[in-house]
Amino acid sequence: MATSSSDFKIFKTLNIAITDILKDTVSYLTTKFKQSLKVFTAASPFGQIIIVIENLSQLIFYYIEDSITELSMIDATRVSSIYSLSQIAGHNPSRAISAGGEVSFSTNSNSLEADFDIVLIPNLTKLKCVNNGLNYVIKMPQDNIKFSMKGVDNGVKLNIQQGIIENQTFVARGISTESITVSSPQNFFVDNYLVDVFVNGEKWKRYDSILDMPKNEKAYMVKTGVTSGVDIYFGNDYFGKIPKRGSQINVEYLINGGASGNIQTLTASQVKFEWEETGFTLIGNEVDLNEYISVTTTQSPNFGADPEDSELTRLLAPKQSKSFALVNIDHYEAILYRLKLFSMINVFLDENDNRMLNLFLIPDVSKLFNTGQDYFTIDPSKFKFNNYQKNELLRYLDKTGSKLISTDVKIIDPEIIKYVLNISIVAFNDVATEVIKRDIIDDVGNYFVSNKRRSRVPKSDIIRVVEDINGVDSVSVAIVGEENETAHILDPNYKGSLGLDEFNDIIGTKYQLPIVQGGFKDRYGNEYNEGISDETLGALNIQIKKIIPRPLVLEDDKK
Amino acid sequence: MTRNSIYRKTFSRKERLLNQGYDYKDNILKNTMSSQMFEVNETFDMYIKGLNDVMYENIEAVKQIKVFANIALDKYETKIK
Repeated sequence: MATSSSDFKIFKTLNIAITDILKDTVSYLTTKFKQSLKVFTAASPFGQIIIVIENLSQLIFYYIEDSITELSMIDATRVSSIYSLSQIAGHNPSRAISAGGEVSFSTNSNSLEADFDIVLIPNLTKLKCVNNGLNYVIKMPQDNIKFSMKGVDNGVKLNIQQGIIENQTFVARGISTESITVSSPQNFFVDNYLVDVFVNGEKWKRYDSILDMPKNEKAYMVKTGVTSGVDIYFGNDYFGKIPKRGSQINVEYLINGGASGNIQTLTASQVKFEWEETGFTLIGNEVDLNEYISVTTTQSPNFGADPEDSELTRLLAPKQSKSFALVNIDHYEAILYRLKLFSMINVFLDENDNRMLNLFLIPDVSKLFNTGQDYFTIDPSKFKFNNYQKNELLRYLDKTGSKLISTDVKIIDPEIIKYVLNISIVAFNDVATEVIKRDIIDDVGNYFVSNKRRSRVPKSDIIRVVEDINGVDSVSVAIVGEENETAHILDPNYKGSLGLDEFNDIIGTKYQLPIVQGGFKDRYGNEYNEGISDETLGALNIQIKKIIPRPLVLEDDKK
Repeated sequence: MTRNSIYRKTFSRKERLLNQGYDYKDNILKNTMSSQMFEVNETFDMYIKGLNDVMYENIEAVKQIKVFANIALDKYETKIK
């Protein structure tokens, strides 16, 4: 039987549309096997095969397009891809940072009936927070702690971190600058710092660059993964060390929820934890820790931060190649902005020692407003960080980059200066006075929460804020400062004005933070109480001087 | 390992990896076609298995794009999601 190559030619033209390819295929088969078109419907076996193959082929084309699109920084849509590409560009995007806190343990009444004296609590034991339902792990430097049931260890404090620990094991190939890819579906939720590598059970040391690794040091480097998860790089015997062929490389990392692990409370003890995992007796029996050991929070979880915004990464990556260095004020401000924890960040050189950088940081108090408080009633101490939080912040800065040897940083406490606002308004009669008062309290509070200026808070700004409220016709504001009033009380002949200028604007130094809160007396004996009340004077006093009908719009105005 | 060695399996034997995605190797056509198509006769099953393998190789080939772009992986690596 004579055959020619054209007999086997399925595709007549160079088609790119899948439907055209399908049409050509069906046409070839009907001609070749002299079959009706009906044979190739979805109801027939061969028709179904062709349709399935066609759909799968479409998917393959989609995968190819997707792979290529996700390799371009401008076109990439997935956050993981943007992170990966910026890694190649030299910018190390900040992945999620897990919230950290401190808990203490004590035995409860059941421990008296326990038939064992010591319980072993392993490192990375899981706890579950009752308040937000998230998992936290106990992080300690050793493998486990022995906790006595006799009560002698009560009060022992340990650090916790939000997240779940994952483990993956690889086998070393024994080559120079060996690299491994640790897969994780969302690389940005792999903790920025907690990635530990053990080679044959021995913990190796992490460095930021291969050039930092001393010769033959057991060292590795972690980078946000190029395709997914994180990538681990080892040395080459000149810088770092090559893991021996066949060694087991165990990578342990924390998957965390970023800022969602933070818990803002007024008292840390409000944060409750339950044990998710068991402890062990010395002979290896499992112990339900919830029965014998209660957990008390001493420092509520904080300083968790979401991964860097992908749009920011897209913007920074092409420009940045020194993201590991903390050199000037901008670098510090950029690294602190990533935490999204502060309402005000101001970094400046110390006047007395220009090697010292002062960090003026105000916590974002608005995160506490869901606990039934507002700007005018919040405890003034919440505008400062406590010692534990300061230490955590400094630790974070140490971890994020290489500080210059010749500089040091100091977190300075703001000097809180209290002011009171007396507002008189003329209101229109078509809006209820309660509504107007509520709006004034909300808007003035929001203005002060979002205010970034400390050297001058103009009175005209406050007037503008009140003026914009529906129902306010005219407004007058008087600002009374605690510092100024105290000076006048102490010296009745004092003619100056402390913290206020001739415009009645609030004037402060770079170490001061003006807040609107009561709790002091003025020179005339008026007592301004804390909070806001209709009966007594407080932080914000609103007087409705007059209520007038809203004027009709004049014909001339209409024109 | 920079060469596609037959000893590759000796390394992966002790590996414990997570997040490798769904293992669709033998299930592509099983999950996309009517169940009436399977176990009808041996020849037809073998034919479908052959088609399944072709489709699997085609899909896996796409991974090469990702692998080539990833400096942390060697060119014969397939264990990526």
